[in-house]
Amino acid sequence: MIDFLPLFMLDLWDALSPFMQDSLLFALYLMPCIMVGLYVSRGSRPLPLVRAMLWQFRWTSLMFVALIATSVALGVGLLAQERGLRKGTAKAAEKFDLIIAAPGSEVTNVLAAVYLQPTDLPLLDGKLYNEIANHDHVSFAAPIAFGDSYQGAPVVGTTLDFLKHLSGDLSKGRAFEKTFEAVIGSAIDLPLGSHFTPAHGMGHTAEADAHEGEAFQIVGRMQPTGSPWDKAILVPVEAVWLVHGMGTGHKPQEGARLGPPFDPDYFPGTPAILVRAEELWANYALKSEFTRKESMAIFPGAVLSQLHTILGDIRSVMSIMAVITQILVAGGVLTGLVILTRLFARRLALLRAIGAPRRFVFSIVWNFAAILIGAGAVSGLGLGFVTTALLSNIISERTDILIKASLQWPEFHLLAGFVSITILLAMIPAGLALLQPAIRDLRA
Amino acid sequence: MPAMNGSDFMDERSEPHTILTVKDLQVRGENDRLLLDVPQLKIFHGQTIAIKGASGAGKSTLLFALAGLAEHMSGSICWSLPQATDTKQRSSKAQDVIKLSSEARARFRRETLGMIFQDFLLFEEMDALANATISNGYMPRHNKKAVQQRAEQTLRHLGIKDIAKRTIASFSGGERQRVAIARALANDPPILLADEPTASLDRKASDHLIEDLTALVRAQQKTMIVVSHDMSLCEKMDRILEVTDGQITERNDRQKQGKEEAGS
Repeated sequence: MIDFLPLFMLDLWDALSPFMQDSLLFALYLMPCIMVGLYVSRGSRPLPLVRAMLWQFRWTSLMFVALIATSVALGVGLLAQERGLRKGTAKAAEKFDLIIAAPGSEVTNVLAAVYLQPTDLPLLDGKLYNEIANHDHVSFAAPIAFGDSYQGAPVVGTTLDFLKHLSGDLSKGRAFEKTFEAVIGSAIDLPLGSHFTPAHGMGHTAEADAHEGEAFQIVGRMQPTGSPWDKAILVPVEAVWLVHGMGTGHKPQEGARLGPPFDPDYFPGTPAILVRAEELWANYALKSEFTRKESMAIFPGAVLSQLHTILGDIRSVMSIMAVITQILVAGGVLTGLVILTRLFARRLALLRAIGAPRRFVFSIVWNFAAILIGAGAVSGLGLGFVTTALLSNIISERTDILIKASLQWPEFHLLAGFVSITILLAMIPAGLALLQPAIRDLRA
Repeated sequence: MPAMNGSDFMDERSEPHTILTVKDLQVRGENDRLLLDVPQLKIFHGQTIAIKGASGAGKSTLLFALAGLAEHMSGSICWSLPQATDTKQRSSKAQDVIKLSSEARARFRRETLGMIFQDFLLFEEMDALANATISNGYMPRHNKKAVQQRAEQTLRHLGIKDIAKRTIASFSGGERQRVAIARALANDPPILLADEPTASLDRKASDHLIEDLTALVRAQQKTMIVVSHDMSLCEKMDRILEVTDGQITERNDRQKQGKEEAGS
């Protein structure tokens, strides 16, 4: 955007903070309309007349403002929503460096293991688990066993390491220490100390009484994570295996011990393993090492990045559509303004008859248009934000991914560009208002 | 602009000052149709002139032509206004509005003319005082106070002062036209042009307005040209011009009377 600048100016530009750069761009976008406004209104006071005209045509003016606001809201909302989705999904996946699962669809595995979307996945065996867990570069490897639920909340079997990794300190209670203890996500509305029996499966197909007699006690509540795990119930993986009649993953003589190491001979299998490497670089080595015939290592971040690219492409297409909409709306508004100026043509003719300078008459129409466009743009910004906030809430409700609505510089730049261009174009109706001979309007 | 008294325009022989000289004026309309043909017309300072005639005869066209608002004009419309108030060193600057540019005509109108229209053309959403001082929107800053004072004074004189802060929407026709008069006089123009000022009023309101308007114009020694069908108004004027099919004829009795008054 600023590539046309000489090299020394580019250096100067790069030396500025991002805030300064964004502020300057915003001012730069608005500059043409500010300059025109100052020139057009210099030495005159058109606003009392403009105010009177706005009031007289208040309903028509409101319609114009609403129209502009809707088109601006569309553009602003699109930018803010896409960014919110991008950030929300990225934040939800940030604790998941590397996932190892059976070969299949990367997206499906990420959706299942990270976003807890119900899916049937093949199981990884205990030998592979042990190989991963005992790897020199692995800090910990946690089985993630899903498939059960309680009142719509997924019940996930895992280890203490994963619980600590996900939540850090708990907000209430303690971590599970016994097989049939559970820790709930921050958004689960169940009291500590209460008991529940999970259903087998999720959603409409869940069998409520499949695990009858197996009651878990809630002993802790996690910190909010802004991810679907806030609506999950974490239990020891041994408990998940037990309620399915698959043993505990340990030798029978080990009793009710929880957590790794597991015995490969007694390991019932897990659909996914979360791997935490000792060092960041090791993730790449582990991915390479465990991408083989019987397993697949996935960087959820990379999968997300691909999804975001698609999302970005969709955003780009929709942005073009939003810009086209804005151009059409701006064109419609300007055409409407030309028609509207005919409504107060007699007043403009009067002003010209009593000797008002042409620039004053021009500035009345231009200021009238500028106020409508400015009000529409600011309302659109607010409307866009409110719509984004509402949509974000709905998406968060449905996906449990925390989507935060926020207005940032791109939206302000879009707004400034729209305002500047349309306000400059508003010179057309203002100029046209001067072309009509005053005498015709006086006699109309 | 300083107030101009009628005495400023009388030369040493006490002949009336010719404020307007029209020569060979032709105004054409669509398809080059001749709307108005005025071979010669002179108007003296301080005179009040009525222009009457049938609808479509060209009365308003003449008025708008004098204001430099008509299109397709030829000939000359010379307004001659004195530049100095010192009567001994008085000089006058003649301006042919036909030769002026559009912007110069606008400047001429705002400095020289006050205009009153049949249907008032007020801003309904603004109060009376704001309407009367509408020119403050574009006048130089140093003139604004004088315009404000003059508008308040005229509104008071016309009985509007107490309701000057009310919006025009609540005003009667007579009150609206008074506000329009105050607006026309706010810049203290030496010339007042009025197009059917009583046509939208009932008889009683017309009579009151005629009384007030003529009294005000005579008190301030303005030159006034009024287009009107209203005989009550026409009879109060110094001269009556009649327009028929774009041609002007003058009622000599009124002209004579007007000259006598201007010379006295």
